[in-house]
Amino acid sequence: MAEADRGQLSLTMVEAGIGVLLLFAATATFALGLPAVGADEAQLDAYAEDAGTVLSREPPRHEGLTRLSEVTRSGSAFERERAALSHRVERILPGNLMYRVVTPHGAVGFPRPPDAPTGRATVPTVGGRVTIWVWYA
Amino acid sequence: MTEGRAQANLLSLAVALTALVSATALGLVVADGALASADREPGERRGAGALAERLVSAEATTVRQNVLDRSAISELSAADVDALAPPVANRSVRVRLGGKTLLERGDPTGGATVERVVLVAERTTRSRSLAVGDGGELTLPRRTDRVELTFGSESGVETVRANGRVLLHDPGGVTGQFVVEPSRYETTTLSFAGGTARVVVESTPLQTEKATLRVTVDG
Repeated sequence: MAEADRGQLSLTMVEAGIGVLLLFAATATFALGLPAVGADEAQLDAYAEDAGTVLSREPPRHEGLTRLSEVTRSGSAFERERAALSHRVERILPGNLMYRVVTPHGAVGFPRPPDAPTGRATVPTVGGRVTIWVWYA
Repeated sequence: MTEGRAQANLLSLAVALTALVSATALGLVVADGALASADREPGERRGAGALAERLVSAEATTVRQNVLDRSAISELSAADVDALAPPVANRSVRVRLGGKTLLERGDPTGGATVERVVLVAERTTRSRSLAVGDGGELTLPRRTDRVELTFGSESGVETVRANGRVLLHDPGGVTGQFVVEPSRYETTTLSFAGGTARVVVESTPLQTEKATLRVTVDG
């Protein structure tokens, strides 16, 4: 009698439990979430691209073809222009952005964070590639 | 005993049904939320991206890539925006430059926003009149890509050079009005040879300032 009682009760509950689990499985696929839109990275890429375009079309301060080709000419030209370059990039970019500009002769700006979303643009110049990284401060 | 079994069955049936119905309801709520958040309005983002890209590169609104022409951009109209970027047609749109709203159609609340870094350029005119002799030189104070030279009718100047390159030459004397286009990447020195003349030099250097272009598209 005791066995029969146990058997009857648990069977229905086990069925219900399995049903609930199945429903939760379906729910979980919705609750897992969707991949990020990537709008942040796209915006950061646009910032970097714009900064590269503006810099690459600017006249040089002393010699060379443009402002960017001036800093890639030689190590001494880079040393001479580094303060002016970082000042200029800071002026061009909106205030909530940090940046790093890497040239063949050295880099200006801040150390790049390893885990934050960043935008990147590369501008080829006569002295090598200049890469601009930007990220939200 | 059979009654007891039946009662127990009925009770557990009720519990099971309640559990299943609540699990189903929860699942529907979560699914509805997921579907609502999956609607990312790609049309808005595309419109905002396309309009911002066209504004910073189109000939109509810029001096060169990423350098906006202040007079052209301040007269931007809704029809211009639709012509520049067709995806924006029939949507609410707002274009802001720096802190100023250039154009607003409808009332975009939320929606997609794209920001671009630009320079805003304004042409300024610097005019000076001077008498030049053979071998006379003039260094333009600001770099420019457009210089207008007006020579008097008594001009004896035969050749005009910019940084050594010949711009104008006439063995009988250069007279009249000319527009020359030196490189804007270097400082220009004009030199005059061949005789004396009265000349008006009008240069139009670009003055630029930085700004942020903000395009919001909604609906």
